[in-house]
Amino acid sequence: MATVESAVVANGEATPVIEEDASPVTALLSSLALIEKSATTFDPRYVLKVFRELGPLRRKLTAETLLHVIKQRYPEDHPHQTSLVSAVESFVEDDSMDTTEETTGSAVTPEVDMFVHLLVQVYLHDKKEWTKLNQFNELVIVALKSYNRRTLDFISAKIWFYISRAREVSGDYVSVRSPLLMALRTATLRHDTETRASTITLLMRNYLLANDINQAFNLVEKVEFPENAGNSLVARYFYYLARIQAVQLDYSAAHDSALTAIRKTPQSTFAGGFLQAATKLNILIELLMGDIPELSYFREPTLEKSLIPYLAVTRAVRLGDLTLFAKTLESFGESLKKDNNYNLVLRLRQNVIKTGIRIISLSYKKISLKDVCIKLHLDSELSAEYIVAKAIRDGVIEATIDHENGFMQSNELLDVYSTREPQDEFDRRIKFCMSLHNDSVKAMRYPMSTNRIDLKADIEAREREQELLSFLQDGDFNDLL
Amino acid sequence: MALTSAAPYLALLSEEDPELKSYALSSLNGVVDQLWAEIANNITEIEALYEDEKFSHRALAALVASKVYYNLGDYDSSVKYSLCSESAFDLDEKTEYVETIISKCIDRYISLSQTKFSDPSVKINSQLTLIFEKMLEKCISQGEIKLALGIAMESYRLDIVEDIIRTQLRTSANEESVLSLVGYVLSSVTTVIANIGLRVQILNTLVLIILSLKSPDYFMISKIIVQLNDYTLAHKIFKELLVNGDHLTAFQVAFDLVNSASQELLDKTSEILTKDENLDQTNKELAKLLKVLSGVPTCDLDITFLYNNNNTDISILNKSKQQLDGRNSIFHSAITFQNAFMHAGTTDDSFFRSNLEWLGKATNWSKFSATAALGVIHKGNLSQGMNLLKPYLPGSTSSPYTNGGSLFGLGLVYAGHGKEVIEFLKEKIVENNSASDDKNVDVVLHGACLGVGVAGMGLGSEEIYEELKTILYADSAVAGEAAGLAMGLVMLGSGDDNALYNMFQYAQETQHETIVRGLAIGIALVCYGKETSAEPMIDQLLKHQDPILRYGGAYTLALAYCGTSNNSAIKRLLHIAVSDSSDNVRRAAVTALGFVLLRDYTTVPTIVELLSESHNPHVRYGTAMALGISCAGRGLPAAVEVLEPLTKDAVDFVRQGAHIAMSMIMIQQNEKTFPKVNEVKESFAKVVGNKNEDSLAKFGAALAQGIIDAGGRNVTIQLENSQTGTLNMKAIVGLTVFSQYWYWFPFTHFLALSFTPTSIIGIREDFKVPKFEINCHTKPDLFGYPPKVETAVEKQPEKVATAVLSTTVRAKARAKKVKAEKEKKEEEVKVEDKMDVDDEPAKPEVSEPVAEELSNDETVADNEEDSSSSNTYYTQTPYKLNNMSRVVPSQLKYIAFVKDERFTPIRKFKGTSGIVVLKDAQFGEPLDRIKTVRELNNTDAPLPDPFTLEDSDDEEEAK
Repeated sequence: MATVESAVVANGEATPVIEEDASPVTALLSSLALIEKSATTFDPRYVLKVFRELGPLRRKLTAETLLHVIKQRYPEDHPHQTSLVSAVESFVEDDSMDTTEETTGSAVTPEVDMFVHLLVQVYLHDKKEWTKLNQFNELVIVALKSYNRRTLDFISAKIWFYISRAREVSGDYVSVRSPLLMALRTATLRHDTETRASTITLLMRNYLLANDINQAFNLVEKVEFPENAGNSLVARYFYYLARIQAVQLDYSAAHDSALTAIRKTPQSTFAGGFLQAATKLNILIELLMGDIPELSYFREPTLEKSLIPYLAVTRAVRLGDLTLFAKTLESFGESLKKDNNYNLVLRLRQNVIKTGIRIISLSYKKISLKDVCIKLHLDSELSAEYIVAKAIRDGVIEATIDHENGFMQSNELLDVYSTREPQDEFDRRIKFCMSLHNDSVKAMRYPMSTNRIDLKADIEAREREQELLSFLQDGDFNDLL
Repeated sequence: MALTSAAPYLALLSEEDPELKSYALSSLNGVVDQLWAEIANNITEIEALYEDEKFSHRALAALVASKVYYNLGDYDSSVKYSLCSESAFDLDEKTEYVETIISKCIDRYISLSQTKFSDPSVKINSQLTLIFEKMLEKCISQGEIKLALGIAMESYRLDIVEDIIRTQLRTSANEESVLSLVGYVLSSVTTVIANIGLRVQILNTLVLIILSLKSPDYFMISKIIVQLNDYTLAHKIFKELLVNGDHLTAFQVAFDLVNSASQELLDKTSEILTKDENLDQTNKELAKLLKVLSGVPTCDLDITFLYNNNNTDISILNKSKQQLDGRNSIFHSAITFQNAFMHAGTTDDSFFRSNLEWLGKATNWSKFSATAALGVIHKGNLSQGMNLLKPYLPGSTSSPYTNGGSLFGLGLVYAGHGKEVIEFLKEKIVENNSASDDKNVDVVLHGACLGVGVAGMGLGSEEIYEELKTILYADSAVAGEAAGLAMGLVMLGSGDDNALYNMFQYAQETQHETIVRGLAIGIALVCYGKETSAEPMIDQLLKHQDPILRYGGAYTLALAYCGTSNNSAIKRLLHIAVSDSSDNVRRAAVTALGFVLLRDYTTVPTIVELLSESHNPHVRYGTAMALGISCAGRGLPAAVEVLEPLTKDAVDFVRQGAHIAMSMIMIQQNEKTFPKVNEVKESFAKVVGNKNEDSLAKFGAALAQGIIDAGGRNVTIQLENSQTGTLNMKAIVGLTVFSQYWYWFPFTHFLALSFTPTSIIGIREDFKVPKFEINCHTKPDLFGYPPKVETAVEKQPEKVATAVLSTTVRAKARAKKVKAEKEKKEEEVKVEDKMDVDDEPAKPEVSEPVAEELSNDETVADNEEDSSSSNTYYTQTPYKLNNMSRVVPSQLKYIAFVKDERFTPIRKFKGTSGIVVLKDAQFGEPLDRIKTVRELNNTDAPLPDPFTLEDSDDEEEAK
């Protein structure tokens, strides 16, 4: 879990520099203009563009800029003006700013209003002013409730993230649940997909952090995650889902979820932390399922370093060597605990033994239980017998035990190709490919009908489309703040 | 909220002690919004508690269950339990939960209540009703009366609707506001309520309410009469008006009815009015009223308007005639139709008279069409129709095609007002029915059947129906088709079970495809406007294995749900449009969409846009027709955008359909109102003139030229009556049969039924048309006639054409050439001369006001320029229009009658065109008036008492 957080923080620092020369105030004002445009055209993509540029912008965000923008855009009598100003004012060092400037903004649209709230949240967050942020958040929730507009969806999803994040950092998990649940309900009623997805993941994270796996499971079981939510939210959802399922021993489902999470991870460097965390979880789940992850997994340049402890664990499991396993736990225990994966790794002990038995059954047609006992460093012949019997019952090995003579007899290996297994596997892969194909088709954008391209009414629409395309090419898609 | 788990409370639920259980429930009720996910695991226990009849806090259990289901997103169960929780559910609580549940309750109540209307066995939870009624009360107390009325109507609660209006009537002193509510209900009833039974009930209630007012609005009642098709009501109203001496209003109502009601209603109304002994039969006003109801004055006034204002651009017609070779029968027909449409109702048949040689080239059925075209041109000329067609009627000439055509033409002249000719036509049928296997007699019968059908449209006469049936049973392909169709026309909109049964049975028996087709369309016509009660017939047809009957099924669906925008109908049609195995059925299904969506015409372009790109040309053609039908006369740019690619389609008949549809949409538009119109007209001319163009496309373009300038540019296609808000049945029938021209060209003439003259005709109570002026608050050129095509530009291509001809046809041509050119030049000079003459009376009308306005306020004009750019064409200073001049529908909102003039309308003017009864402040003083066509024809008759004279005239003519 800590890695995810580090990813969150690292995010701000790793962002490439765009629009270096533009002053923060003009950049902010142009963002606000885009948000207004998004609200009037009902096209959420403009907001996405603003969010994409938020990374570079937030580093340059100062109290002065914010104050300036607020004063410029908000009329004096706007109900939120004072709260916004007071939230930022105390950080203003350079008082010489021209605070007397006339307000130019005629009316503040709800979208702009909430976006400015979000900026203040981001600012306080980056300043690590947790108590201030928490106080400010109370006001934000009230402000958010006063609006009912579909165009706010994306912004409110982000706002809830910071509300939850602030509480989480201050170690208070429980109090934010109620407002989050209310927000989830409202978003469901109003079909605000993004906010709905965001609050669901936030709640899951909250429960998981509090180790309240049951509640998390209850929630996941009963809410429907919106299908067309943003990619990064979907990735997060599946990551948390994989975690819940892994803890609840549902490994194959967890494996599917973890894979989806990895697949849905945005292909940019900013999401590295998330990818690491998801890959770690996936490796453990695969091990728990009795599979050995491929070595190439650990050789990915972006992941290699963080995966060292997991490589060691995998080795121990692969060799079926209990002593090596114990040693690994000892040396990497701390980092595993930090990843919140220690308890899952502990479960692997059984797997180490099972793998050992499997290797033995593959290598020996017939072996005495005593030898098994020695090879696996077990305490007694009796426990070896139990373990082997259990392994046979679980279907790990195909063998029989001769109790009287005290040996284990491996059965002849079945020809897998005479069973349905290859077919099933093939079917699974085809299904995977098909769903991948369908997902990509759904994610595509289609050009406007060619038949009507020369019509006057569409010229404007086409221009809009072009403009957006250029926006989308500007930088890699990343809204994984 | 410090609580993180509901487990302790949930554990309490399984305790024995009811005290503990209720404590657990009330605690859960408090935390359910946070911990619903956990509580949901135990929902069965909570439900069991509710089921337990011994448990004291059942309501609370239901409430908790409801909240859990609400959070789970299962709103149906949530509503169910909230209703069970009775008092525990607080209606006035301002939470999302309560608001959501209430809105779901109302939805559910509405759907239940609707089913209850048709099936009384449905039980509605009393709590649900309570919530619904409480909400309505709240609504009314907040002054949202229209909202409350709307919801009450949607839930089919007639009692509430009536109650609301009656309370308003009692509480508010202002009758105007109540009337506006009644008007609101009336307009929603016609557009929103799908159930016919309810509609009738509501309308009947409304009549009672209106009559109970101190000053009842009779015009609103006339709308209801049309809706209900109720002649007893009409009788009652007329009687009341006559007894009160308010005969002017009675006349206006009568004129409105003639415009929009069925022939049957008018007939029956006059019948009982004449039989009513309580009325003074010698009353002069009654006689006048009966005359109005006969439809004669309306026809006379319309035709006078069209005759006086005829603004046909004959050069277009002449040019098309030159370019399309008359020896080819399809081209000959095309010119016949173009001529017929351009002059429809104007009584101007000079084109025929000056092109007798061309007319002589007509053979067989094109001769039939050409003769029938006379009927279209003289449509509504009731006083002379018979005389005009006499030379062509059976007995006068020998050609059966001319005979048949003239009988059909006779029907068209008297379309919808057929009393005078029906007997004559019926005789012709009876005369010939024994010999229908003779080919010549067949053709005559074909014409006679069509004629009887058109003249007796919507008459519902059993007698005529039986005669037609004997023709049908003779099983002749030619006469049978017309008979099948005519049966439908006569029984139009009656939904007569017996007729439907006969027609459907015979359609299955006969071997002739044409007869099946005629019957299929006939069935569709019988089911006109029947909505759900036509369902059994529609089902039978659509499921039939014969594609022609399925084709009829699509049209039946179209006409039964005409103008209702019924979702299920649209869904079915779209399904057929993409799935049927027969191209014809698919084409019909798409076309049918146009009829169903008449009132919602703006949505049609988006609905059919994808279909217009179909790979199947028949579907594309259907798209064009659907657009043409639904947007006819509306000038909708979005529709034209979809049509434009179709005019350049690769398949000839798609281009044909697109041209026709285009012209139907752009009828009566000019440069100002629709900038593209000239471009479109030129493209028609280009297609007609293009040598390499396919003949089908040329046919379409020639037809389009006729339609876009139809009726001397003084008519439009209007499928909805502006006065009453009802559908214009005649126009819809016209379009339906017109679209059958695909199989049978003579049906093209049916489009003439769809033309509505666009004018305001003010008349006095003695039906005289005074000369006076009306104000029009806009610029004169905005709605003016489009300029005529300039002949100078056209001459060049003509010359090139003749040059090519002269080289190919050598010696003969050389000899003829000199002569021919001389003649041509003379002809052209003549044409130009004529045009100048035509122009003269039209011009001063328009130009005078311009001069006037300019001289009056030049400075104002500048300001107006600015305001017009912001899309308001309203100008403070009006220009004057003469009585009985062209006023296009979109112009109506700028029209105003001059106050304090001698003539003021009896009805408050609300932007409706047509005949307006005027009150003459100085009755008896000398009058400067416009003579009607009928009067002009009776020059030798002495003037004083016109009715008795004219009546006797009519009788003579009928004989």
